[in-house]
Amino acid sequence: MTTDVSRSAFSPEASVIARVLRESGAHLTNSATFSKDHAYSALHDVWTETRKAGWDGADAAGIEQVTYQNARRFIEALPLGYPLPSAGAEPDGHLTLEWYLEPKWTLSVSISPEGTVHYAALFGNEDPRGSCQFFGEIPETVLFLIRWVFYP
Amino acid sequence: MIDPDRVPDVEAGELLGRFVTQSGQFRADKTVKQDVFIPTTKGEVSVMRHRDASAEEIWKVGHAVADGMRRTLYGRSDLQASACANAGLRVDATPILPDNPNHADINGWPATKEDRKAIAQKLAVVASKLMPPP
Repeated sequence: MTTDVSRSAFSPEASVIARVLRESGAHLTNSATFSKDHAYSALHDVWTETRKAGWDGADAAGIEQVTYQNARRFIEALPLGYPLPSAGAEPDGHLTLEWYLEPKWTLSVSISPEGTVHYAALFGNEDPRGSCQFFGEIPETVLFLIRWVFYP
Repeated sequence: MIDPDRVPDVEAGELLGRFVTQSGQFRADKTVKQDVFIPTTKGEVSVMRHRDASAEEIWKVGHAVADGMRRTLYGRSDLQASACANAGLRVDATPILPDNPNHADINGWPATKEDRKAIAQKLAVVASKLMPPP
């Protein structure tokens, strides 16, 4: 049986334990935030390159701020320990996040201004794909595919 | 370059070049991402046929494309036209005269986004690694 010491700590010793647990949790959160900085930075760089319409030299839609925010929230929502994606953009105004092991073992997720997620993976001869909505939590299907890229 | 007055249809054995002007379109190992082959909103992927073109002419067009976009030309990735046909696509000769009679478009993309991504991933697998400009 486990006891939630943060809620039932009355003795001085228990208070110390509760404080340590709180601080270590905050430390983990801060570490996770820090560890995602590179992904945020790469995403911002791509957005900067593609904000204006015609960024592909043709008729590409400019990447809207809301799309950037959706993609950033998607990265934020990645659970601790999940590998971070690289970023890219598509001419229809979507941002892409990619998890990559090798050319035939990869997952690409497109995020639209409306928060629709279109994904396509390549695992050897298998190519699962689909679409779903992102409401702040990453759909379990996508989490499964991310894990599959690195831990098949 | 191809004779502008006699532009032939694209043959399966032809090599096609795709210029890369976005830093997010390739990886550290120089393989290209599916992003390179995602079609425009008109449903096209613009490429340059190698047919009858020297390396110098191909890069000259690449630089002109990047300059027109005020972008960096990171390089070029090549693939066989047959790879497009194998993926259910077609390559149409679409010369841009007078400067680029070798221009072509990859057309025939499916309607759904995830299907387009799946095909673009497969093209990226068989495409060459990014070749930097000389």
